[in-house]
Amino acid sequence: MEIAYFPGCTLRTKAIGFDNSVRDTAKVFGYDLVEVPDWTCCGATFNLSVDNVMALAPPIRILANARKLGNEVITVCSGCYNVLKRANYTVRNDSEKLAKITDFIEMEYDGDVEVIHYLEFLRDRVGYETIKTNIKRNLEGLKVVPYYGCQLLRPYDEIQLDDPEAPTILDEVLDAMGCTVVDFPHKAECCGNFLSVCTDLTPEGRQAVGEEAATAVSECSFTILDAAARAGADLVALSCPLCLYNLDVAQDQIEKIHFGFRKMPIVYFSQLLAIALGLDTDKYALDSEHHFVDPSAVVRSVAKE
Amino acid sequence: MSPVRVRISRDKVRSDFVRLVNEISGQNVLNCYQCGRCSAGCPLTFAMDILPSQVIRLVQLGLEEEALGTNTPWVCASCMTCFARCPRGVDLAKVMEALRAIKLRPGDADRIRLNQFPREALARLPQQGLVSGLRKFTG
Repeated sequence: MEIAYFPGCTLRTKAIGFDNSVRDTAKVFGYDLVEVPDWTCCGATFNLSVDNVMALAPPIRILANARKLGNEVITVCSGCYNVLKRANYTVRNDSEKLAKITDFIEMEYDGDVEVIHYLEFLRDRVGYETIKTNIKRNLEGLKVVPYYGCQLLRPYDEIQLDDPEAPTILDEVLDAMGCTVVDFPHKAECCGNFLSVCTDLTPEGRQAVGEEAATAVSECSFTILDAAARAGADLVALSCPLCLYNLDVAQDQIEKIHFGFRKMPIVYFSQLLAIALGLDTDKYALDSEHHFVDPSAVVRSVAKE
Repeated sequence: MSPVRVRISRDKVRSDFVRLVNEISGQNVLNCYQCGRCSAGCPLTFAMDILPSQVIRLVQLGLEEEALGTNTPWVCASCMTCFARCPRGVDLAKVMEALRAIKLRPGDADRIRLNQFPREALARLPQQGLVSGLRKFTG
């Protein structure tokens, strides 16, 4: 069965392992993910100024294009999901804004496309029982903490995927694929989001934004990773390329500041799903080229046939 | 955090500044009754000059210079934990965005510039981070 799919800017490049594993695992369950025609970047972050209508144009244009394929679209990056879902919510409840945007993009759209996260799709459409019956590799003993971050969950009124503070959907999906799911208290705690742009500036740039903003991501990431290590986890599974970047790359800095810190690989949940379903592990960028903390040793430990 | 001495006046409380923040954010800052749950749950207070709830208080009182002079709106990562917990339904992330917008919109006030990124950083940063960062820090 064919279903519309919006990969988003990061998935076709930096997060290629995320993209490939989502497409291939969907295929195992009998679904062909078809790219939304003529798609662009969604804007990466939902604009929080209510008087800014312009920022709604890219996500609504994407949804209007998705409408050509049907009345639902699957997306998997938490950022894209947040932007598309909130933009959709906004125009569904504000006909004036909707008219302004459709006039501007010269396309018709009336808010009738449902934005579905791949986790939601696995839960509601594929079903945990189907996942379990397709498992080819045993991931038992692989201690994984599910990390949700912010964009997947909040604000609840507009997203309504799961509880905004005590979510379970990723726990359930990881459990269905046979991982040993480790509960920890920082599942929905922020990793610092876009503040990583401040970290990566030149020294002069860092000074201009302030050292506090520049070091915020590594501190937030340390709090989360420390909690994960204390809970006994081997790795972190998540669904957001920016969360992955923040938690992964920050470990270089964290190691220098926090004595005794143990590095932990960060992976996308769908990469683990691809392993569990017996797919070719070399295809999903689980290597040092795409991850600062190399996950390949952990992958090899479970990916024996 | 050192105590701050401010002068409160009816003119400031009824100033255009409060109206502008409310208009851009779509919130009514006067709904906040200063319980502090936002500040208690905020994961980034360690990097902030003053707490998120204190910023709201400054806005309520129309203290434009004081509210815009802190780094708090620039450290807010829009994670919306505060909004999820606010018993008064105030979306603080939107208020912080409004404060950033007031600084950025007049133009020539960008906090970061693309040429401040080393080449290897640009190669490493995911597009999602670069685009959202630039949208938050530039006008």
